[in-house]
Amino acid sequence: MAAAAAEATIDGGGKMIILISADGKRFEVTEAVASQSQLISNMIEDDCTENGVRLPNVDGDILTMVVDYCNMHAGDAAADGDTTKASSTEELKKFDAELVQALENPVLFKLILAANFLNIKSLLDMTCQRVADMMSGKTPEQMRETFSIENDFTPEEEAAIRQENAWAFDD
Amino acid sequence: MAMELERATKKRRGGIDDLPDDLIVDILSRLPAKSVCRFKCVSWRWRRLIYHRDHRKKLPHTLSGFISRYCGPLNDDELVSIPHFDSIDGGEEDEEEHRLVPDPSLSFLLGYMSISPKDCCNGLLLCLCCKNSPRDESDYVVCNPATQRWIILPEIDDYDQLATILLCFDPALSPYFHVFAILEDADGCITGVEIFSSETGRWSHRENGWVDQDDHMLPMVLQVQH
Repeated sequence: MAAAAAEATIDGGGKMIILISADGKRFEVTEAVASQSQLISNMIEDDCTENGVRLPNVDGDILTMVVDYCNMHAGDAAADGDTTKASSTEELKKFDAELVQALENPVLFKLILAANFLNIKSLLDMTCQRVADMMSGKTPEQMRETFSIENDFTPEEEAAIRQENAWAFDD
Repeated sequence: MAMELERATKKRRGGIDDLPDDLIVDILSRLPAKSVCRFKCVSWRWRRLIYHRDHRKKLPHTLSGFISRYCGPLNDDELVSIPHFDSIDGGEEDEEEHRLVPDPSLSFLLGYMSISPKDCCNGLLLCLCCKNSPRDESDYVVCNPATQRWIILPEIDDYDQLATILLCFDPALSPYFHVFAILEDADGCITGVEIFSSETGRWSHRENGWVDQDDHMLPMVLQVQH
């Protein structure tokens, strides 16, 4: 009964909302899915989603991932008290892990920016953690290599700064 | 300035430098202090970001330096004690925005001519401060050198028995600090302890049968109970 009620909330979760990416792709999602974005949730409250929500700094391919993520996680809050939740939590974990593991860096950074702009805390948290995991144990050289950072120190400056922070280079 | 601009234009697209400062700080806050310190050597932007005062609270903390006592002459006959901050990561103390301790000589403690640091704990500093006048009077003061807030501790009963004074503060457990004043008699035996709580603003006296004629034991303060 609880499951049926939850399902009804998801399926019949009020109005549909159109999200429009920077390159004009349109995504139709339920309010429950879209309101995982705090930004859109505020817009729903303020009744300004009637003509679709334009997201001028999120590309279509990134918005596809965001919408997939929100679709997967929409049942999350609604399914509270559901006995099948344990297995669905496992599935979600697997989905999340696969989502971030597979991404090339430039896409991962775009996804972080989108999660930040749309204010989806759990997605932002997960993607930032993924980058932190990638940084763990790296040397400055490996950091520049992995994350495409330009070394703008002169050799003298770099040597001096290394000297200042020598303790951090001990193993 | 021209060099700054030239450096800025070198930024590669699609790299992590596309992210704004607050997101990079969010990522760095998930790493151990040693990694973050090492990443100061990545580029100028990363160095500035990690050193920036606004980000310091969010990033893992490292030992930044020592506050020590510097004795300088007041006049021909007298010396005064002034605290001095020695930074261990060097080079930053000249730049105002990077200063870890904005006023290392603690000159915000007004009315004192001589300040001796006695103990510190998680960012708070306990000092014995000699008044400008009358000169033979002094106060124990607890201050936060970063925020420059400070309070004078009330006088300790049995001040003449004071042997050791310790400061205890753990902001993760409580916003209040405690000061432990360990009292000894003329023979060097511990007779009790005065405990100051910043919550009550008062000292309270405890005796707990610690007196040990042979070993001159010092009670070890492990944790402040709340």
